[in-house]
Amino acid sequence: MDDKQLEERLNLLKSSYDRLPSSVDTDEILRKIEDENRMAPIERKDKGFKWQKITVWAVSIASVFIIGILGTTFLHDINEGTTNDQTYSEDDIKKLETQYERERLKRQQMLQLDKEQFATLEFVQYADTIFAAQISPGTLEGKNDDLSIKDGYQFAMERLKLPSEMVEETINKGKLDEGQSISFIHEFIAKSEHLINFYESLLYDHDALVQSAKHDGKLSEHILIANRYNMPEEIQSMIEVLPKQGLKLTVNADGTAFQVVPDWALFTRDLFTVLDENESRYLSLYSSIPGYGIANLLEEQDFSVLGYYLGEIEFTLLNTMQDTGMHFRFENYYFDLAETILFPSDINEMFNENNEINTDTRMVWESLVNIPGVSPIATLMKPVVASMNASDWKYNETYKLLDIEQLRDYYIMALEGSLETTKLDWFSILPDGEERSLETPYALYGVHELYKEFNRNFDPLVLHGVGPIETILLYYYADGENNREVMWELMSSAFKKEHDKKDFIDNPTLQNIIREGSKNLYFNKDHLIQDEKYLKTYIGQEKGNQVSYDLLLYLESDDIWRIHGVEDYFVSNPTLVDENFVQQVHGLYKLFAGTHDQTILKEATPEEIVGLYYYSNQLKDYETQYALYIKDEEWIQIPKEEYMSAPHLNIDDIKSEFTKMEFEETSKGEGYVKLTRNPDSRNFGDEKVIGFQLIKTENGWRPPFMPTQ
Amino acid sequence: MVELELIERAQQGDKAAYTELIHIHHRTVEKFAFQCGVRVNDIPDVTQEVFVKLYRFLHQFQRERFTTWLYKITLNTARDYYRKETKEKVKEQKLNFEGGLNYTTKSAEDRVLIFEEDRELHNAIQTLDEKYRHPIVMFYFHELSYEQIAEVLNVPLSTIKIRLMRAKALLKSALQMNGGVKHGR
Repeated sequence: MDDKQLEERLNLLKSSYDRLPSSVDTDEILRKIEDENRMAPIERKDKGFKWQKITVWAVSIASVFIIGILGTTFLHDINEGTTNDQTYSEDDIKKLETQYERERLKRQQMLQLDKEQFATLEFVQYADTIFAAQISPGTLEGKNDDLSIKDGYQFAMERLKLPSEMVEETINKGKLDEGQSISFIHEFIAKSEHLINFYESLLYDHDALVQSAKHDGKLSEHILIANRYNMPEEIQSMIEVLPKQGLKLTVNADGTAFQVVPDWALFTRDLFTVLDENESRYLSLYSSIPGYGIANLLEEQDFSVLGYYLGEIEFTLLNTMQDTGMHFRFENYYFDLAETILFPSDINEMFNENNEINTDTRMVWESLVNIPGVSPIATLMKPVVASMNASDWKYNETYKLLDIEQLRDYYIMALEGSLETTKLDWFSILPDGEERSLETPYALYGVHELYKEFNRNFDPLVLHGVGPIETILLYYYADGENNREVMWELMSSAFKKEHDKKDFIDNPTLQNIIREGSKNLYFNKDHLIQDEKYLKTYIGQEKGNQVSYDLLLYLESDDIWRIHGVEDYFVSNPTLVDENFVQQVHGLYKLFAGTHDQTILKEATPEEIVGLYYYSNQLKDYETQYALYIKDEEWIQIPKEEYMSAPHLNIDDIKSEFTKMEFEETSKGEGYVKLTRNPDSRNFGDEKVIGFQLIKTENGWRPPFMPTQ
Repeated sequence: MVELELIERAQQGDKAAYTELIHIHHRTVEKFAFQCGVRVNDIPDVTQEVFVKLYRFLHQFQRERFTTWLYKITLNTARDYYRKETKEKVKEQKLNFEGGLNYTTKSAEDRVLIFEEDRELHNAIQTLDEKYRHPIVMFYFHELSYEQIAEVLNVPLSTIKIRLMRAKALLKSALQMNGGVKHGR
């Protein structure tokens, strides 16, 4: 079915609705209206009704003040006692009028404005409109709504409060829920904007004078502030009042105009403790993108960081209440910004002379692909970046067909919860190498927050984008807290299949996974391995004076790193074949040579096994050398006699044969030691590096027959 | 008498003018309420409530905004009507409508939507989330512009466009899933 067919059917249905029976009784309607008008307005307790009324009401004045769901919060705080308006007299109304005037004057003085200037502020006009509609001559004869006089007065008073007062009161009130938070933010930003508009127009009115405040040919707010006493009184007052209301004077990027912008650093610290965590993101976003639209952002920020802002806006939109004024505003910014990033107005600037996308654009696009969690923009950009990568970042068909409308679809899906988590490109996200100190006070910085969040309901999404080192630290932190539920949740599904949850909780298999005395955790991209099923990696920690990469993690199908266990480690730091190493190997030899007890070598490193192999040769102890070979029948076995009678290498000193050894695991339970030949060596021909194969057995690493082939 | 004049006179308290306005607009309210999910038998109650409320707010809005307010109030009244119902009433409905899922009685619905094809589409619209249902209803059955719908729902214009597009896609897939009934006409 196409759109046209659907529309035809909708049209047919439309005509069917004409059959709907009608039975309107106008007399009954008029009678009800009469009845209602005869009754004096009595305050209602019905919260839902009040909500709805205020919403409708607020919309009616929306042309004065875009208010959204504003007001509901404050109404809920109003005393719900049933004060009957009939107890009010004309005198009471007069008193309220005097009181309102007094409160109004107080704000006017706080802003150091004259009466006319104060009356031009939009939020003041709005408060006045409410006051006039609620408390005015004739109020006692009956108003046309259900708000009590007391509530109406208080509602008008709230609208009159300055941003600084709003902040103070809100902080004193304590924790707000998301609805209350967004109501506060909406009104706070709206009032701040009204003040900004007022002061910017004041600056415009005094343009000729303020233009003299220049330094090196550019306007400077510092010069203006220093010379304020030569400025008109209004400007002096403005300079004094701005910081009190969380605003500051600044100059635009090219130094040609003064601007008034939010400066909420002093407010936000306390505000963030009472506002809903997600809704409060709008305050931070607004500070970065003040004013309407994204023009300021584009003017002030480098193209390369726009992806960051897009990600921030997207996260905020997907994690805050819908149908709020801030949500709509930033929804528009989101699509505008995405369009700017994907389709710059001057497409020629995007490509260099070789038709390749420029580095800035490429960086932004690549960053978009790796936004963790559910991300419409990452979903949209993934195939584009993949195809661009494949075509050396040249203009291609995939980009040509890219449609911004698709982003809207993904966005709606994300809001509905039907967009899947983006799979991140871990090869590009993870650094080549990382060393995380466990000894600084900041070692667990951020992990505590992550733990708190994940512990709330074990939502895997919290872990999306969290790297393998952080996952280990989180497990370590949970272990410290003795929170075995969290520890269990961090284990891989393969581990969970093999273990019983109750047993694990009673007695976790893996406790203290970070060995005592470990100073750092290490990540090395060389150990990021894609096997048939998983992307996996080993996180390293110190073991003696070496680093052992033994903390195994799998990237599971939900794109989250989980711990599989402490497993076969391999040493990444090359082992030098020096006197120390020989002593180490000699110690092993003494233990093993007498008995050939295979279990003795269970814990030996791959390098030590190789060392022992050649050390036995050096001592002409071919029996011990033979005893090292893998005994598993899967591998070729040669009779001992045949081996003993075969020619052997002639090694005088393993130190003069090799300089260093380095193990690399190629797949699970298999690997090889890279032996770097000593240039003086008389064996091994011209090879500089020799590979020595090793297999993991139940008794540790062992060479198969002819390990260097 | 032109409508704006009627509104102005009604705003000044002229009951005759208001009666006239009710006569002009009650069909819109009835149809819109039905399309928003109000049961046929409840439509008279809802319509009455809409016009009582509308009068209450009459003096507050500009004459030009009358249509917007009419839709806005109908929408809110329809929504609230079932929210406010007593438990007894719900029980009563359950007894009346054994099917449980039908939002209206079979007979009442049959009288309005006599063709299977219409019933199928109507039901598909009713199962849409209201953020998609309302724009579809206003755009196709009431011929409101994007701007008017945005004003009624108090959301940005771009959102309306997105919702309409999405609503159509949802309807198409719902109809296709049912195999596209084609009979009765």
